[in-house]
Amino acid sequence: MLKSILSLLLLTGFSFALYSQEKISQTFKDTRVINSHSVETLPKRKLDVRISHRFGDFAGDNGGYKTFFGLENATDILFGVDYGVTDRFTIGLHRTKGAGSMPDGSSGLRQLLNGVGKFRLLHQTSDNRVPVSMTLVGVASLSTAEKIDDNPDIIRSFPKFAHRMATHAELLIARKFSDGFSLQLIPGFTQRNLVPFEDENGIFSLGLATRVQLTKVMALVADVTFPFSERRTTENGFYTPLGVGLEFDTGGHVFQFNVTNATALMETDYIPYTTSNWSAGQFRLGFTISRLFNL
Amino acid sequence: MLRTISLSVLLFLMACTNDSLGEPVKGECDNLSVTYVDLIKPIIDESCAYSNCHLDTAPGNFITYAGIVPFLENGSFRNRVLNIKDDPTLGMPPAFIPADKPSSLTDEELNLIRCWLDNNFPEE
Repeated sequence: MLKSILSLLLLTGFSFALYSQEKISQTFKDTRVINSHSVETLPKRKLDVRISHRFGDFAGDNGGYKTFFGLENATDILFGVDYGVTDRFTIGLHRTKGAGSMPDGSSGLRQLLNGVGKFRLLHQTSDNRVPVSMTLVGVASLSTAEKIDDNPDIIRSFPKFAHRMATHAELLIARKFSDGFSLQLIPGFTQRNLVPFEDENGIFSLGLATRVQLTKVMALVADVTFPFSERRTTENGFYTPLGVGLEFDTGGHVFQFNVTNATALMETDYIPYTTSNWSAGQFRLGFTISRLFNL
Repeated sequence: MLRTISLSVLLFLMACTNDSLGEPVKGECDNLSVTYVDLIKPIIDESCAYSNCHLDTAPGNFITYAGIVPFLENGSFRNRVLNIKDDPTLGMPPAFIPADKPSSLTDEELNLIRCWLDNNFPEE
């Protein structure tokens, strides 16, 4: 069944490709927007070495001058690589600290190994026969944190091995409207195998991302993700992860400087567990560096 | 290639569980009236608020009640001291503190702190 669905998707992709006049390139410059993936996959045999960092709260109770606007704290740090197996298929392995928490302060998964798979389904063409680009993304996160046996109230008690895992799948639908403006929709689903008391395991979400070219090397990027969950309301202490940033393409590498309320870097982490509030000063500086190597 | 993709998708589906933690168990706090001034300040002064830690270097000055309140309100105090107390770096007190300071709290101290937090950390 799965196989036939996949084959169908592939066939659709290829048949569109047959008609294509000219593929629209660089809907986004990087394979990530800020917190979200972008529709881009890596060219074949390119290795992308990535480092991302999110600092502590800029203002509010834990920010301000006493933590030098959060720069003395790190909420999440990512080291990892992506590799282009083919022009359409990218795989990646990333290590993150893990940063999400519930409104009462109890933690989500920590010390994570994250596997990423991206498969390009459609490529927007200049004659508009294919009006959008589409990419399928899968993320699987595994906590390598030490099991804490004697506290059944926390996620890290890990009653089963599978409880260390959370997975996420999403479809990216993007269109480059002009040379300077791209927009992307991100319907997604996040599955956590173990959740806190009275929380839900599966969460649907919808993300929106955009990129606006400002100068030859600099662009404005932004993304936001809305989790569809009755529990995830501001009254309950959850907030919508929203980021804005400036992206610099300096040739061979992309450097991004951003501001976001999300503490975490992976979808499995920031979609269910963003509890920091922009208007309470709980936003943070962050950066991402992506450097491409030929293999 | 297709086979590998479908296989890994299947593997993930098989590793899927839909479990949730049980309702947190509350300790026996009914007959205890724990306040900051009475019972908690001595614990914090002894185990947290000393030089090179939560007095002048680590986040927050824990020598006063006001200095601790933000960490009580955002839940990080409960998380670090109770939930992940056994974590060598994040659990408080951490494993890397000076040798002459207590590296873990006693069960009695932990219970006092738990009751104090459950009762919304009264000062007096």
